[in-house]
Amino acid sequence: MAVVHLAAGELHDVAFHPVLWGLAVAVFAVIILQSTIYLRAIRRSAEAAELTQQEVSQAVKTGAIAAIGPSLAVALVALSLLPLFGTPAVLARIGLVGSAPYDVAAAGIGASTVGASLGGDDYTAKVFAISFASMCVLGVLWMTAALIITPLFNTTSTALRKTSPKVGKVLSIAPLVVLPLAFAFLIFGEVSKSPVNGIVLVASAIIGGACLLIATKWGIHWLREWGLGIAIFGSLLIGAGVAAAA
Amino acid sequence: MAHGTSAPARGSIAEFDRTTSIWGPITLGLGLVVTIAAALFMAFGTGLGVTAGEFWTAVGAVALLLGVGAIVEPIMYYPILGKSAMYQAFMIGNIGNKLLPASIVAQNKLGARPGTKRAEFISGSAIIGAVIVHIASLVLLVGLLGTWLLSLIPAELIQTVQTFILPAVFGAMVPQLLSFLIKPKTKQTDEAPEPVGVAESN
Repeated sequence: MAVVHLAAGELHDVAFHPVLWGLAVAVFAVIILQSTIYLRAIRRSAEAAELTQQEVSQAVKTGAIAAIGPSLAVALVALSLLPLFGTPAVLARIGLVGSAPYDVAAAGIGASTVGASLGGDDYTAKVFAISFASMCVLGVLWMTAALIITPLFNTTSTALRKTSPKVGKVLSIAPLVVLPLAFAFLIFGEVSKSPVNGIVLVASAIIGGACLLIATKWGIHWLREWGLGIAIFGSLLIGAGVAAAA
Repeated sequence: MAHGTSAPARGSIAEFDRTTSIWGPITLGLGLVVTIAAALFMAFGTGLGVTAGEFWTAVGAVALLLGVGAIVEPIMYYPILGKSAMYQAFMIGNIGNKLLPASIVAQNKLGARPGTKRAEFISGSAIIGAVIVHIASLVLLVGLLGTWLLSLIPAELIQTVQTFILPAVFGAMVPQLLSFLIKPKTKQTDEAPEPVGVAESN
């Protein structure tokens, strides 16, 4: 397929198109809207769920602190995508059900369907447009699946629970089974990629475990939430060291 | 704001369920609309000559090669997250490496038994906290300072983070997860939970 070669200026103009900026802002507005509605609903009914208002605030704060390490890492990876996709596209995609590796994969697939590659000589404004649309398709698939599966599962579980209390009991412990399975699955996928990944994972588990142990033993509560970030950065350093030595 | 352990219950659980089952899908649907608009605008609104055939070929290729994850992830995460948080999680993404850790650390800290409403509320609150950091970090570090930071940060650092971030996060989750799943019951009395979760039906 013939790809029309366009001046680099045009690629930049498209990647930083005002409408794209507007859509990126809209993404964040929708997320903020949802969080505001949810927080109000949680606060309103907190007592009915045996939760005090202070505990709600504490949960928000704990979640925020625990997310600092992962967020810095995600932001750093997002930075690496800026030269390829420009600021608004990166914000819109990583902001909304985006994950850098998946999005780059989708963009690459999109580019390849017109016989081009990301960042190559043939990376024109048109290829960018198709790559960006491909990333959006990924988000659309994810959100659509969640919109269909969530009510479906909810109806099914409610119906099952009505038929027998035993089923209800089984369903209530489902998270205890599925959660470790899901993580085992994620962990296996990472460790199988390279031995250094395994070292990083074990190092992170040890550092995180030590933080948790110290936090519980001596009542140092902040370590519970900061432990996650400390373990992530500690193990990243170890990973960098091992990779450099190898 | 009215604080206190014995503050009267102003809203019921049913009220929370109603609000989130209406606004959860609406807000996620809005996110979907914005994303579709972005794809269509970029392909057809910029006058770059993308044909419908090229557009649908790309859509089909992505759906074919990466679409499985879109179905597997909601199925996998529903039993863990429960209904209300599903709409949060599938809006933000980064579920396994950002939202779930935040949720589990908070549930751990506040002593929640999985499957209870208390756990669902703590998890929802923690995800909101994570969302605040998610947005703040993206707007500040990527949106405002991105280009400048990129010129300062050595490429090797980004490379390292890119390579090892997932094992680092998952490793750190292991002790959190263990202490979450294996622990003496704290705080929780006998509640009649409206548990989240459903096994994969087949």
